[in-house]
Amino acid sequence: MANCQNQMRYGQQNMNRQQRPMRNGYGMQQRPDTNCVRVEATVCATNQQEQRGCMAAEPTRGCERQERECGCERRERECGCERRERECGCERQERECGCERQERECGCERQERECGCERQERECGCERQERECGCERQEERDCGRQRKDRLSGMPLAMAYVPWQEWGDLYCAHKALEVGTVFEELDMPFLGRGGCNR
Amino acid sequence: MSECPNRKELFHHINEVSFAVDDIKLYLDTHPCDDEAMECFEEYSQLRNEALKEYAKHFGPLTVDTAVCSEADKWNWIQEPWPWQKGGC
Repeated sequence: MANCQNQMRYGQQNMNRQQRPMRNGYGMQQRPDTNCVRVEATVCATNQQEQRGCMAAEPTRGCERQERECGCERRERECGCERRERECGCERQERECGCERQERECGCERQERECGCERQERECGCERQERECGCERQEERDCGRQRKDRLSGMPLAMAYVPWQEWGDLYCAHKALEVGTVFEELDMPFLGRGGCNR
Repeated sequence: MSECPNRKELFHHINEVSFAVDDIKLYLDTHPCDDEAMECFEEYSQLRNEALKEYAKHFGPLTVDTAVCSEADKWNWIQEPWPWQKGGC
């Protein structure tokens, strides 16, 4: 009965989403007060006309719709449509499919997408592997604890710009190349990945 | 200057000295009493003005300040190609 209810429920969702009109005996599956088991058996097993109609329409219909209308589990498997399995919400089918087994083992789908590497995602949190994968987020945190803060003792949340003194100048040609006429301000960006130098 | 300079080289020289003038100008904004900076600014500013006048004389004015420095006997502000146009460096 649970399967029957699911089929009815998803059948209704399908109808609402695709806005397809009901056809004859198939429409009875959409009625909440109808014994769907009996109706499905009637449609698929005993009503040869309906079954022929379903089979005849196979080449022109999408696999999802045909599966739902027919209600035949075997045809769904033959269809092999992953998307429909997910929409079905059946956990057992998803595991048989195998498409989402890794995500569930990892337990965190969002981290996997951000990292971009499945192996790292599963073993996320390991400092050694983060270095291998090029992710220095963990290393940054460690560097931040060990680095000597030149502004230690200064009030927080304030920005400080040291006063510039007149110093050596580049020639005009060099200044235009590096972007400043002051040699002490020639500080090309050497950081990578946001890590401190 | 009787000899015609290379247009591209002169234009690049104007860019170089103009950048130096702008950068030192920024320094002077926060250090208005710095004599060394003022002296350097005047030096580069003079180089820039001379280069602009020379460019205007041979190739047409780049700025309106040198619009009358052209050797042409008429107003040629829009006659010469602009630097971003073909033939204008």
